[in-house]
Amino acid sequence: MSSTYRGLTKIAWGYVFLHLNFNLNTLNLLPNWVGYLLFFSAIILLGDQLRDLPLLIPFCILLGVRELADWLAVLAAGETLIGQFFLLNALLTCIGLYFHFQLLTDLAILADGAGENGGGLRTCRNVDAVLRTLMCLPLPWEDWDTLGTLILTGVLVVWLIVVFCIIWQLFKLRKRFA
Amino acid sequence: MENIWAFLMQTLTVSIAAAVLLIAKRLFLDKLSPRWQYGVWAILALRVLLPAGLLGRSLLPEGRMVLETAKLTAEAKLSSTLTQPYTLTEVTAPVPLLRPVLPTSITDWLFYLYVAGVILTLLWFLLTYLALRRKVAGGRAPAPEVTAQLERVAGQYGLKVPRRVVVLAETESAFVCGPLSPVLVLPERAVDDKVLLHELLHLKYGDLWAGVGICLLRCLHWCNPLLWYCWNRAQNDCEALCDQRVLERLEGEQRREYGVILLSMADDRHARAPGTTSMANGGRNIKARIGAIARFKRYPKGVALGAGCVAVMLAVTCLTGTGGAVAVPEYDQRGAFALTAALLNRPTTVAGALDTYAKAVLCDSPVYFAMTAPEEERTQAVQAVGKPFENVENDYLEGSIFGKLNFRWSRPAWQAEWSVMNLMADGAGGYTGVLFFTPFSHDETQGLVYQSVAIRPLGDYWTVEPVGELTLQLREDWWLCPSTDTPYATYTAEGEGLYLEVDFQCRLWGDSTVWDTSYGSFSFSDSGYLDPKPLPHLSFTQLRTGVGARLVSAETGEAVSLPITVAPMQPGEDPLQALEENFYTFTLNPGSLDEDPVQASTGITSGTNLTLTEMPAALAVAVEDGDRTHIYVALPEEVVP
Repeated sequence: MSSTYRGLTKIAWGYVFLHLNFNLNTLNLLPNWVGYLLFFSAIILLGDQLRDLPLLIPFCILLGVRELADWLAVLAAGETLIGQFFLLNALLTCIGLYFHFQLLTDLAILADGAGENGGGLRTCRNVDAVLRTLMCLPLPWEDWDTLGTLILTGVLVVWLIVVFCIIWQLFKLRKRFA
Repeated sequence: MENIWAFLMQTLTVSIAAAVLLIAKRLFLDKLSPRWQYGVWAILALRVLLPAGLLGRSLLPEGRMVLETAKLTAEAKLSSTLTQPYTLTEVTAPVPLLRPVLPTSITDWLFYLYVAGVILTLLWFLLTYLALRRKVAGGRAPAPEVTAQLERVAGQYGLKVPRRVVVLAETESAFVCGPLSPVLVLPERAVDDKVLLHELLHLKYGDLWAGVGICLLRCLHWCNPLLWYCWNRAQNDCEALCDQRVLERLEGEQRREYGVILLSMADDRHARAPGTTSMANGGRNIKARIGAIARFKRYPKGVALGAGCVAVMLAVTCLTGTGGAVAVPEYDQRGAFALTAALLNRPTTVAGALDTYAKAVLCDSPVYFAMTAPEEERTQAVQAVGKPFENVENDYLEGSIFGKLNFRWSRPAWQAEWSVMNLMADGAGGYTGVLFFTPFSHDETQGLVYQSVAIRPLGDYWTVEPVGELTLQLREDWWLCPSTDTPYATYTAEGEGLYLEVDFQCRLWGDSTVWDTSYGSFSFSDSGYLDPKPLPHLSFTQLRTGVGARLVSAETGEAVSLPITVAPMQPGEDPLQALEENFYTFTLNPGSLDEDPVQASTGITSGTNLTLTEMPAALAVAVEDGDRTHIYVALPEEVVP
């Protein structure tokens, strides 16, 4: 098994951990910090082939620590911690957006190099970034009643499809390196 | 900004935004290009131009809390002309607004000092610029070969040559001066093509105007060193971006040569003047730019959308802040911090004002009274909050009107539900009404307590002023609506040989009760208790109405029995439309209420979207008389308190 194969597998499973949540009361049994641990390990494996990927290591650590802190806070106190600090949360949200955008950009380059079409990953990356930004805008979703609920539902459905597509494309891409 | 506190609030907000941007720029230093690094300063510029606290949002609510407390503590001992001690600081404009009054306190003087600083900094920039223009005016025309070199460089890269080019003996490097009629100033010695390209690119992208804007923003916050540092960084980022633009137009060896030229300027004196751009901007800055050049090829490609999204998120964070508020103080909190928390949590709705006032009464809490106190009673409320908390529970319980009626006491509040009746517009934007305190359903008490109140708007907030004393009413049941024992208004109309009287009653309240439900094997029981913390943004969620109508012949005074429909309406509204479209339309049935003959209807509506949240200004009434329908507009005749 090549390091690229293992790296891609870890990233794909990282996304599964990040977006799939099985909760026991409020505690997530598939913690997001495990996802970032997998990403970190994958970046080390793929760093030689993708020039820009190692730039993401500090961000990966920061995001992993944030998720770990939140997970422990839920375990101890029943509610997340970082969200209570508006400015810190905002900075980490920016970092998260950039991290996933750059990660998917690099993976698309890897796909192009392997003879696969990286366009699909780039499209998912763009939609993901726009939706993340949209959700951060201080729009009065609650005041829009039905329209707000419809838009939010639409955004969530599109997001779910995008995440599914990313995971599917990553599993498909890793076959090239088996 | 009308006083020193408004300036401090504005500069604090801008400083927090600056700190966020500096951290973000450091985080993305090697990841996002100089375009992004320079572009995000626009967020800071916008932040400076937006008044702090706009739309009730703040970047750091705790910071505002500290500032307001400092203001309250300082201004309570002063008699400032420009500042009211017990009102919240508001930034009405991002620039200083000077009122022609004499300063009477140290804070007034400090504000005048700040304004003087703005004017002096502005003058200093202006004079420096004029001195430079004067010096430039004395420059000589360049030699023909220099002009030819300039035209060649401009032609090669598709750029415009400025109308005026001068050679100045005392300048060490080339620069552009004057945004309106730009002049390219060259030193005596030969200038490299790449340096000319750098200056021409400044002209093409209007960087001179950005420099002027930065000078003006510096003036507004002349005494804030963090912002001076940020604007220096912004100007250096402007140069770094220009370097990037130059490098994009150069190739191979030329790029290395450009780096060498920059290195040669590292020891040059930094001689930046307002309204100018200069490639040589000081040794330390040049080192940072050389670092950026070294990263020129390393910035990840194809991340423009991502960079844009990060910038939008930063802009949203810095410009809108958070709507999160400071926590409502505890009932027994005292002192300046408690008072600030009270002022920052003043009620924003009528229901919120009544809830806050009701809890102030039930907890006997001065800090809650301060949240709803009108302007004229603010000093008294503030003094009460200033006194230390004393636990005199036993004395208080014995003397309280609620104790006399045997209401349940559960620290810190008498256990009662509040509701308001006869909430009528007072014609000046406020309301009058009667506030009722009733016991919870399982409690054994001997009556209820009520008080007439006036609810008035004060800016974005609502105040409550008691109009009468707290009064107890001994009664075994406390059915408030429909009842002729509790307040109602009578609306009258006459026409078509008929005289009509409609008694309209409406009781409103919000949810501030916490219910405990316990389940047994074959039963469950629930008990309510009052949530003692005020809910200053509460909406009315419960409405109970009672309508009774008497219809008599105008000539004989005898009762007439005809079907009647009633709907609330606004003055001037079409009564027929009100009857057809109003959600609250009452079809009256014969009987009930206390008088005979009478037609009556009662109802209860729950939800957060109540549209009838006050007594109607008028009633549209339809009387079915055989195949004819008489439409009346009934106006309030008598209000029974």
